[in-house]
Amino acid sequence: MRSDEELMAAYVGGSAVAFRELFERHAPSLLRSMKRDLRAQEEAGDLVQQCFLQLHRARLDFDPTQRLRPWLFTIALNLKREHFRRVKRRPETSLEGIHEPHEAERGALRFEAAQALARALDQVSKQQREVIELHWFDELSFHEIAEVVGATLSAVKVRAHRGYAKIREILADLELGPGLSIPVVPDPEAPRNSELLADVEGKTP
Amino acid sequence: MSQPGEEKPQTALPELTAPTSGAEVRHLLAGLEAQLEKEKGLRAWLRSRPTSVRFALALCVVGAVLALEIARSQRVTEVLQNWSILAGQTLLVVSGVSLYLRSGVLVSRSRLLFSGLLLLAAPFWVSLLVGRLGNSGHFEALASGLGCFAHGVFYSAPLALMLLLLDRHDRPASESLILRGAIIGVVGNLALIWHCPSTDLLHLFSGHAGLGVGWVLGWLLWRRVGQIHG
Repeated sequence: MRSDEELMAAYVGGSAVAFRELFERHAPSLLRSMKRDLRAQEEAGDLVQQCFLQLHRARLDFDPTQRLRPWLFTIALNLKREHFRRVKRRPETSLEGIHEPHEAERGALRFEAAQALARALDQVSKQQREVIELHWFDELSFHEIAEVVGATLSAVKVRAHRGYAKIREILADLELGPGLSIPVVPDPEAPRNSELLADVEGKTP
Repeated sequence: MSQPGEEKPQTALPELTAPTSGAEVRHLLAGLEAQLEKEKGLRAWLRSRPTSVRFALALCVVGAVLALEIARSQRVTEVLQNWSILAGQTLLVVSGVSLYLRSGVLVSRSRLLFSGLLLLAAPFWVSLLVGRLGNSGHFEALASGLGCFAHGVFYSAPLALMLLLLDRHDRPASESLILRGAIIGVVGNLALIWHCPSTDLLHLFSGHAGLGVGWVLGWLLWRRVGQIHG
């Protein structure tokens, strides 16, 4: 299977087939990401199309030595942010059109968990939410997320650590289901704090 | 792709990451391909150039506008004495165009901040001259200011067209429109420096310094009209 970067290089060279393959590979995850945050589901599709339209217009800016996926998610995140600025509201997790088919087979407990998680996501800060969504749902690495949101790796990890901690706190009494738990991200500032503490303790007479 | 030593998160609740249907993706692809079919002509060609080429094209238009005005100017020696103001405003234009054409997550806030700087550049320049300025307070000064305003709009219009054509967004964000207007305003002001010898405060504020604000309001109005009709 050709890599994203090989496909993009082929597309820049004029291959429409490569573009179609890229779309089929990445549109589903981008669509899921958009649908999670947007109330109107048709707007999610529109933003995914806009994302690939931007990719097409910026194709000659693509650096083949860089990875495509973070670039694509950066375009998507920009479009999503612009959309929310335009409609003057912040993202809210939507379960519309998603939970119905699953409810019967997975049971009311799981549905409740999903709803509670959606509500918890609405309570974390916008920056923490972006990082959590990219990490937990879109399965990007922290290095990729740092590229997407334009922050340092440690800043991204701090956002993830604090965001997940808050969600864990909100959902403390809720069982998410077998095999599922809220990811644990170590506090990147913790080692520095413990080093400082050890330093201070070492100097204490 | 995870980096070595980086733990992958466990899969989240499927209810929040529900798979999309193949039919839906195919429908979106068909719509997208129809949009790509329309990507033809000068605008499509210009906005799909690499950012470095778009940057060079925009600066060529700035250079051409200023060269034309300088060629027509009767007061080259006089203006060149204010070389630091010319250099400062040119630097602002170059940085503004670079920021305008760049995309990225952190860009939107920078665009607003920089637009503020650009919009203040002309009034700041006028303020620098305050000691040397007269203030007639006459209606004639305001009327001639409107003449200069129109002249500035005319001379900056080619850049306005070029920045519009180079923009990759069909629905540009407000920050982008504000920055676009502010850049054009500074270029119009640079052209007016060569054109107009007036030292009247009322004239300079109404006819020169207001140009950027005029362009910003114009672009925002243009978008609003487009939203109403489209």
